[in-house]
Amino acid sequence: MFGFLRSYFSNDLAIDLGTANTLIYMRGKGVVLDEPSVVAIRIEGGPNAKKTIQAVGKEAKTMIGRNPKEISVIRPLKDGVIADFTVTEQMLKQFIKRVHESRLFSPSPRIIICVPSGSTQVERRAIRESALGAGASQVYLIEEPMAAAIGAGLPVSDATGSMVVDIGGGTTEVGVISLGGMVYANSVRVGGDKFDEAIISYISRNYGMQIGDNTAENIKKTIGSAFPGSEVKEMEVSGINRAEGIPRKFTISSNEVLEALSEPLNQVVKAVKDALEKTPPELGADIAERGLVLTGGGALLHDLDRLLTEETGLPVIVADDPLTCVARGSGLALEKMDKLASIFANE
Amino acid sequence: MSEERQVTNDTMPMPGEARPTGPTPGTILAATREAMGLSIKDVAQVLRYSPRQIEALERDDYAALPGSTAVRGFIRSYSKLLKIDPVPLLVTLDPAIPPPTTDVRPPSNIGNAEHPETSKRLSPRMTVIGGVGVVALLIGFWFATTPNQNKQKVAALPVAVEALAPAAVSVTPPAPAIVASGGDAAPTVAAEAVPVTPALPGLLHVEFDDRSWIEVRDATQKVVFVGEYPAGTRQNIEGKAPFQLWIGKASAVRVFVGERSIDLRPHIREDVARLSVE
Repeated sequence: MFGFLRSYFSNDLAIDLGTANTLIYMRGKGVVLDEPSVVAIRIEGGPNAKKTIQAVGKEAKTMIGRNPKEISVIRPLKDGVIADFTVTEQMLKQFIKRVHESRLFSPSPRIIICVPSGSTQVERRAIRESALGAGASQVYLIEEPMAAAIGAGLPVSDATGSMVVDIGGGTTEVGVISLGGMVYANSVRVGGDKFDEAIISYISRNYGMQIGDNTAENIKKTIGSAFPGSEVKEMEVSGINRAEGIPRKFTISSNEVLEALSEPLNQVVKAVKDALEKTPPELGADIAERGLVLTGGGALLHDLDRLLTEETGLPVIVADDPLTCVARGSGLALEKMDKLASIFANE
Repeated sequence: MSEERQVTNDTMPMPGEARPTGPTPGTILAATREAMGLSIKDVAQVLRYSPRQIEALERDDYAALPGSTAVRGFIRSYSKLLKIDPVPLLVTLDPAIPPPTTDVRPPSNIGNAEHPETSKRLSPRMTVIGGVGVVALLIGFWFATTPNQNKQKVAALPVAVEALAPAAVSVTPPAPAIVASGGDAAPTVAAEAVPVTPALPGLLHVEFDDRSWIEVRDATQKVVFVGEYPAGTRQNIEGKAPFQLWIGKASAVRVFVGERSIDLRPHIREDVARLSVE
């Protein structure tokens, strides 16, 4: 009923609704929230059976793999899109409430939200509806490569080609941008999650050990590498021996992790090569001069830039603070949303 | 290599320190490259930048390089190749080339890109501000034109007249305009000839020269006289002074307190008089 008043007392937000992490940029304040996209839900039994949210974000993430039967820990996004609509809506509602200090009115901000460039109309509609359900007064969509390019500081409005590769938790987005629009965009469903799955699978296959998602992520961050280096690192890991059913410790090396990651990394390389193939020659020349820019959490994988340089023969640079590029880029679009139309995506 | 790192770290400022006048990122990179025995061609082979770009970076000629994002990324890649920490170099670089901020703007050659809906509609914020302004203006106007809180009663007067009038006052029937006196006497004008109801001391007396409405409240805020009356009506109103009067078409109504006539003219606004009488 008082929607217009609530929107008046709410700050506009830009949300990078990622598979792994959700970041929120608030107009005039910058990135104000960076939390894992995880929700822990308590399912109560008995005559008054109901579901309640136990925890959201970091707290919920620590519960992964440690939860009792009554609590289910959910990652409501998969491959960059919504897998569980209701839980995503609740998670967004919690995050939006968290970044608004005022409790007088429940917040009802205008929101810019990122979508993978390869997402379908249904998936985009789900993201829009989810944000509206979480209390947004208006929702605008922006494709992730565009947001990433703006966040990385590329000259998206100029008549020059810029190429950005955003490797997120669920998807890898490749975009070629010129004159404020996307000349080419593609999205492959390979990202940090697939890297983790590859490590889990490799260890299971070669060591007969079962490890959890968080352990796999830890291995990737600590000794993960995309290109063979002169220095070999090792890490001690705990898991369950599948034959004995007993927890055991073992040591894994960076070369083994590289071998484990080869399959998903090849898919990333293929996506980049496909994009270069389909880029118009004039823009291709610009990209050869300026290099292609890596953003997203995947850009932090050791020597990924080196791998892409070797595979494409082009200079590859990692953006400043790659984890927040998409959120910052969406935020910049938010600051100028009233004047711009071409950078926003349609359903 | 560890020696080279030590040298580099000693010469670089820590974040937050003032920019030194010493070695620039380009000279440090060039010196480290030469110490490692690498040529510009070797570096270009690995990083895939052209030798021209590497020479420009080593000269600190950032204008010859494609933008701040590329310069910063280039320094990061080059530092990684030379196995030195890029952070001090980037800190030194900051004053010369600030971290990139994209100028997001509509392309100038395709006209003014505006969201079609926003150009036609007011934003919610503007709507709220406008609404609040209009309400404030209305409240201000109401206070400026109404001396007390009985505006609603005044507005509703014509409707309420019939119900209230008999109970509140004793109405004298309208006197005939002309009264015939004796057979030989000439007719006289009613205003002069009609015997006026004597005005009692301490009472209000009103006379209507044309159809008009009136509301009178006494000191207890009780409505003592209200109604719409035709021309020629004369009334005595009892109550406790002071009285508050609202008189419609005030130019056609005369008010007396005892024998004293009240001049309504200073109290008339848009032909409605609002006044208090002791």
